[in-house]
Amino acid sequence: MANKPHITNSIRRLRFEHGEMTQEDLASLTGVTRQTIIALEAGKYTPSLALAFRIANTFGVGVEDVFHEEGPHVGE
Amino acid sequence: MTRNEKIAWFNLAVAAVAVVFYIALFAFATIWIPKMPLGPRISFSFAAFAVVGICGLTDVIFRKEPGDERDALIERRATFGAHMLFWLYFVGFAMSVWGVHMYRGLETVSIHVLPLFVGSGFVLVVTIRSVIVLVLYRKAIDAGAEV
Repeated sequence: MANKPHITNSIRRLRFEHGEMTQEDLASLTGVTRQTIIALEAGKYTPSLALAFRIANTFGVGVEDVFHEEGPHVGE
Repeated sequence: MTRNEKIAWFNLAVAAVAVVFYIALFAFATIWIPKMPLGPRISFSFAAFAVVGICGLTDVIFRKEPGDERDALIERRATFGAHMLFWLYFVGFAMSVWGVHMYRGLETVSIHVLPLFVGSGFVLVVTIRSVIVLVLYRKAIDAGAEV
């Protein structure tokens, strides 16, 4: 059985590159709570595809620029 | 603090009050009605679990706030975990009662045991669910909130 891939993200870096956006700002722009942004940045929560797209759209980048998969890919 | 956390703390407090109330009623019956047998004392004290019904009012007490997908996930995990533990408790309790009755050669379960079983099971579900909600929210905060 393949190991579960670990999803990391660049949300914190992207926030700072976008005018030092606060977690609260990003939360309200993406329609989630600040705690969810905290959990995402800490790698404690993997978002749904819809939320991943909303976050990427907020920063004006692609999903793959925000979220990265670490570890073995399924099927390898 | 999110609405889910406030509700979890509230439910934990209600469950704690119910348990304290149960112990108080049991002690009252033991001290002040010494001739009352153990079974009726258990049933008498069961009235304390009525307090847990307050948990059903949380939707009225706490103003509705828009949640997100993580809130929903935490709620689902907490409910699943609480019910899974309740099932273990259910089987454990049932097997214990069966074991005791086999040992004593009894065929019927006392009517005083069943309300306690249901009441304590409900308190357990409320408690475990609240604890899981609080732990899951806490984990993220400890991991890196900005002030």
